[in-house]
Amino acid sequence: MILSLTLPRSSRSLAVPRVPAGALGLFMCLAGALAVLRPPLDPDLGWHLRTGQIILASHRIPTTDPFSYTKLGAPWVEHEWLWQAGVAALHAIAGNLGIVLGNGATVGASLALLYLQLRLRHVAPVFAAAGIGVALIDLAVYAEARPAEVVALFSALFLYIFERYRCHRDWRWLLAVPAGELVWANCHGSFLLGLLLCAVYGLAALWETRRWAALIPWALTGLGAAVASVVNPLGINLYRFTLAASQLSVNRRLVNEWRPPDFRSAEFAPILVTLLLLLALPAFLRVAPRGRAPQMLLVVGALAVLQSQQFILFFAVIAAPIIGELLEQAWPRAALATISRVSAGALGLVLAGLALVGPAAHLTPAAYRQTLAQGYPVDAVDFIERHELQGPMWNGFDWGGFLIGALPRLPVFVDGRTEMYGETFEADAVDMETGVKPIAPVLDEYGIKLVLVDVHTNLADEMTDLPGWHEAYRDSLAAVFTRGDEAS
Amino acid sequence: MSTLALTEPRAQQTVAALRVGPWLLPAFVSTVAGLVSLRPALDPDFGWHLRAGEAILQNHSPSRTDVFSYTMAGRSWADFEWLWEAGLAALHRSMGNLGPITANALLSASIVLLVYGYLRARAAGSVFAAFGTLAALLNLVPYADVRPGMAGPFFLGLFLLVFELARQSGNRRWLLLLIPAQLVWANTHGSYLQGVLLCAAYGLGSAWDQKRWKAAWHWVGLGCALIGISLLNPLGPGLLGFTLGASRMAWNRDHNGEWLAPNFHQPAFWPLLCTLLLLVALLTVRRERSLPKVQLLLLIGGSLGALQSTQFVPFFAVAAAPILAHVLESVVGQPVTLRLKPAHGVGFGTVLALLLLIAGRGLQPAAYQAAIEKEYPTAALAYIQSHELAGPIFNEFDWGSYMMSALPDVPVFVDGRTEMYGDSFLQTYMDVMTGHAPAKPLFDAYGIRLVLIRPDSALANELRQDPSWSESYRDEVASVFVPASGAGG
Repeated sequence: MILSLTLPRSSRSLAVPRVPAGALGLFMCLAGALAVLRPPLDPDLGWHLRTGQIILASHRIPTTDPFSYTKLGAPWVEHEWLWQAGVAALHAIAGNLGIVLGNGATVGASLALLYLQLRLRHVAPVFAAAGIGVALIDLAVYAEARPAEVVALFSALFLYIFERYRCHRDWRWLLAVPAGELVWANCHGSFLLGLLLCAVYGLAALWETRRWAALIPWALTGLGAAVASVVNPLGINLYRFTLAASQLSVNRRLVNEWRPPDFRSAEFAPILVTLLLLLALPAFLRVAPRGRAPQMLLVVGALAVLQSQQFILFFAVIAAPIIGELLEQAWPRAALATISRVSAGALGLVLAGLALVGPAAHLTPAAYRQTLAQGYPVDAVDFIERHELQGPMWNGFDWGGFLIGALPRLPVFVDGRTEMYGETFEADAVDMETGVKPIAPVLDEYGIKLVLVDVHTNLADEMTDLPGWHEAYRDSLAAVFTRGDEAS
Repeated sequence: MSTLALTEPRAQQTVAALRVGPWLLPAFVSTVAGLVSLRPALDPDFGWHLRAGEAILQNHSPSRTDVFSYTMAGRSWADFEWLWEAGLAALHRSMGNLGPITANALLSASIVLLVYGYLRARAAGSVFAAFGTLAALLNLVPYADVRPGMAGPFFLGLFLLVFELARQSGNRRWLLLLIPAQLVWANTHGSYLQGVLLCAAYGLGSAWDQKRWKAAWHWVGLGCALIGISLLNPLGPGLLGFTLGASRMAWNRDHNGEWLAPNFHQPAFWPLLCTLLLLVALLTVRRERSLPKVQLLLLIGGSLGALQSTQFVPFFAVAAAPILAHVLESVVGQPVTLRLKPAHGVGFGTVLALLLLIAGRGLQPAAYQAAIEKEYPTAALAYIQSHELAGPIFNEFDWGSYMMSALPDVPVFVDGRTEMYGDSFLQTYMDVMTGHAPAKPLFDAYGIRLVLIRPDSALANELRQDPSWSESYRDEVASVFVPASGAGG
């Protein structure tokens, strides 16, 4: 101690070597992966998982509905089969923990690709880490275990490939795009964003060079990606299906992810701040993203995210790295090459804390069940199983997906597959729940014997007063009604 | 004429352009603003504002207690928008509905002129100033209904213009003009606090630009004077508490359309969406110079406000959207001169003629009535009158105000005066409307004998299944329920 105090400044630097600033990028990626280690609460996860299990067991993709009794055997388009098979495989290996870890790995990989993209753009590690730090904050709330999570991964992958091509002019990199698009198209309907990214980079190249020839590599890449995306169970019809789904008014009315973000809610504060930063930084600091492609992407991303919550991941992947780049332009002297060991140690401790506290708080069986029980009728399902209640069962729109996974014995009335059920059926189911339409005729039409309903809905009150029905179970979230004296 | 223009020497064309350019564009944009605001008065609160104004003209003082509902009859009611209501009633008395509509169109046109004047005072070129003004207009159009809220953008435009005139001329006496303006604003609409906010932005921006807090002193003084003069209103200092209290009402935040965040699926918000995207696009391609701090504060504050709540869209329209003019000018990098050709004149004239035609058709009695019938239960009210159905009536929240003017002898259950009704009452009302609470206890408490609600509401479904109520009338807009024993029609 005395010795070190007496050492000259330069000797001390030698004695305590600093850590490359790239460690910050690694920290952000790992922090991102750890931050999303929480129980998956997406309402559709149940039917995705069951579908994946069917695919793994039968080696075939279902083409008719196997989960509901209202549409049993009706044609059903399963375009997200690859993601579902992957989730089912993870679940087979490690149970729910496998799905959670898979989600963490996806987020971590997306952030890593963004970091590498920024480094390709010669953004210093400190600012590249700051950029993906913003992405992490934007992604953290929305990055759930669901097919849509591939938006972040594939958008980040495509952007990395495009930057790689722009930097090195090696066309072979672009060959990876059709392969990526093939996987993307079989995982989620957002695969169209891949083609959009190609188009934006092509137009940006045209704008920058003012030569039509500059479009050729991008046009060929886009064409290759479009052809690859047709290799899916629906073929070319996937395009029609995806576009039709985006026009379903019931999706916009009932499904949160189709609604625009409500910026009064704290949940969307990171997106709001990111949008305001994108206005404030160029206006105040005279900085702008380098190249036309990021500029065009910003406008496309902002348009998308202001229209629909489902584009939050896309916007985060586009906007956050640009903020990192703008910050570097504004404060170039802050581009440290290394960080002190103390800082690196502190970051390590934060990671260790995240790795220990997060899973301990959320992923133990008890905590997992408790979190799930806050949004889904876990105890009511136990009651139904314990008493071996028989269907047909009526259930609400939001719980259908969960019930397909948690109560496989009983086919559901409705779930989140809006494209299969159709607008009228789904809207009627919601109107029944909210008390706008009476349920009695439907109960008779389908010979329903069991009703599982959210106690906060009007339907719970309606069922209480409905002659011939008996409340067999009630907790703070759900109530179970049976016809006559069936449960007693 | 076109040939003539083409054969004119270039220099002469520029001279002609300079002669007509500066006034032509603002005149065109403000006329457009006026014409697009000539439309039926459909604001849900129009009815009670008009009734309140008529009472003021009759009694020569604003009401202090509620006389329009039976649920709050005689309770204290703070009518802080009395000045606008008195003006509305005076216009209505002299010209019917056309009076307020025409005045509102003139107000819209003057807002646009103020914005243009403000941009010119900030040294924006005339073409760019017209572009910024057009952006303001497009954002304002969905909001430009006959309502006290239109005072907000008018006074904002006036404040911005006066601030710039004072800044450019170095003559602070300009700012004294704003004190009487603030007095009128505070007695017209709750947005008067935006005047103080604008003053704060200018103070902060000046101090930031000059890196001296002293530069903000006179703005602080002005802000204090504005707050002081605002207290001259029927509520006195209570107006401040009242205005801030209204912003904290849970009902307003959750159910009042003006307080909700913009939904960009609706065409009414597309101008806001396009302006934001255009700002993002242009700001990221320009590097020449940073925006002045005041403009930066207005841009960020306006965008934050507009993205959080629809009621701040007019603020965004007047204070933030016009910044597009400067940003675009910076991107273009050189002055753009307007060269008026006869074809332009024909184009402008055609647009104005078309807008006039559309406005004229919309204000024809039949079209006006059709617009009202689409929004309000006119036929159901006629049924109630013709069958002499008696209250107390339970009505839709959005229809209360219309009913006050259409059925003045029947006090309403509820209307748009949310601050008077309070959160607790409104939540009870909402629970019954949405079926979350049974209607019977509330109906019994107020002795309700008549229900006028939307036919597709949860309450309508509940009453249809309730043997003690009978649906005596139904159309696409409304259902009328009466107690089963006394069902009419």
